[in-house]
Amino acid sequence: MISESIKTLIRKLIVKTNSKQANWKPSSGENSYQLRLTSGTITVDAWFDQSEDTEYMGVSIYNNSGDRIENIYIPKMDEENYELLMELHNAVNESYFRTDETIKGLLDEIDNNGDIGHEIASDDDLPF
Amino acid sequence: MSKEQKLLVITFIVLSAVSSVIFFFAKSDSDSSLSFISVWGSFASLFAFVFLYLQLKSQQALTREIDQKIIDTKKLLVKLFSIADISKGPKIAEQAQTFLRVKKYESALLRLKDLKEILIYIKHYNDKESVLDESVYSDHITNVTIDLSNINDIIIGKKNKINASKINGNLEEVSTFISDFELKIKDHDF
Repeated sequence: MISESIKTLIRKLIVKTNSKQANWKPSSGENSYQLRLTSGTITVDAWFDQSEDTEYMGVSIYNNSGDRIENIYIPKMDEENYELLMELHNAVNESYFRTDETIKGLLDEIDNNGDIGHEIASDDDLPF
Repeated sequence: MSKEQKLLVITFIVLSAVSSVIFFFAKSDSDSSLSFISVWGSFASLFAFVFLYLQLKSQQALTREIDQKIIDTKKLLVKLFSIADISKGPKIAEQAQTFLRVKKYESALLRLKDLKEILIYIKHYNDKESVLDESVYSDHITNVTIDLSNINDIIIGKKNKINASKINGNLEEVSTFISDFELKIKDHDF
């Protein structure tokens, strides 16, 4: 179960992340990211629990003293909440890897007139 | 004897000498030595009270000085013990990195817990002396807590993977942070 205040927080994070205004960094967990704010830190992660044979999405919140104040993990069977967290995780993934910008950049280069592709520098630069 | 006491004694001696001289050279037949001694005795008692008062004052000042020295010594001892505890931090971080490399997660977890204790100790020290940047401290304690949580999830089988290079990076940074802090409290009179 996710409280309404946490749901509101997650929805606002999705909006902020999609607008490229959230500075997510990789965290130490599996498929995990963290966002450091002045008031605390939020982590989001996705994993497969082999013992339960279930996919999970998780979000945790830490205060500035390093105490974990919220630890939410939602199994795939809880569709509504799982979808919400998955939407956040996908937005973060997209934002961190800049997938859209990279694909757009590649398309722009391909659409340009002329040759594409750089020479790959060789390590063997000796004259003999 | 304090300066005031010395001055008092000298004044007493001088006044006694002057009054004795005046009495013996200027006395009339009706004046007797006994009355002079009686009056001189009263003044001597007065001087004795003033001398005692000055003695008590100087004793109090000495007690305050001793108390302050005790406080300063205690502070120094606490500082030395603090430095000794805090200086273990980088070594503990290094051990945690080694355990992670060989996938000994339980041992890495214990080391991270020790590291968290040292960070909390640093915070407690900082509450008294205000040496470090709170925001930087907050980053490190949060990272250690997150890493602890993720390693624990591996141990209990909840998750299969951790980002070990991220944890190693965090450990390097916290090690540097602790070393910097240790130098600050060693080099300055905190």
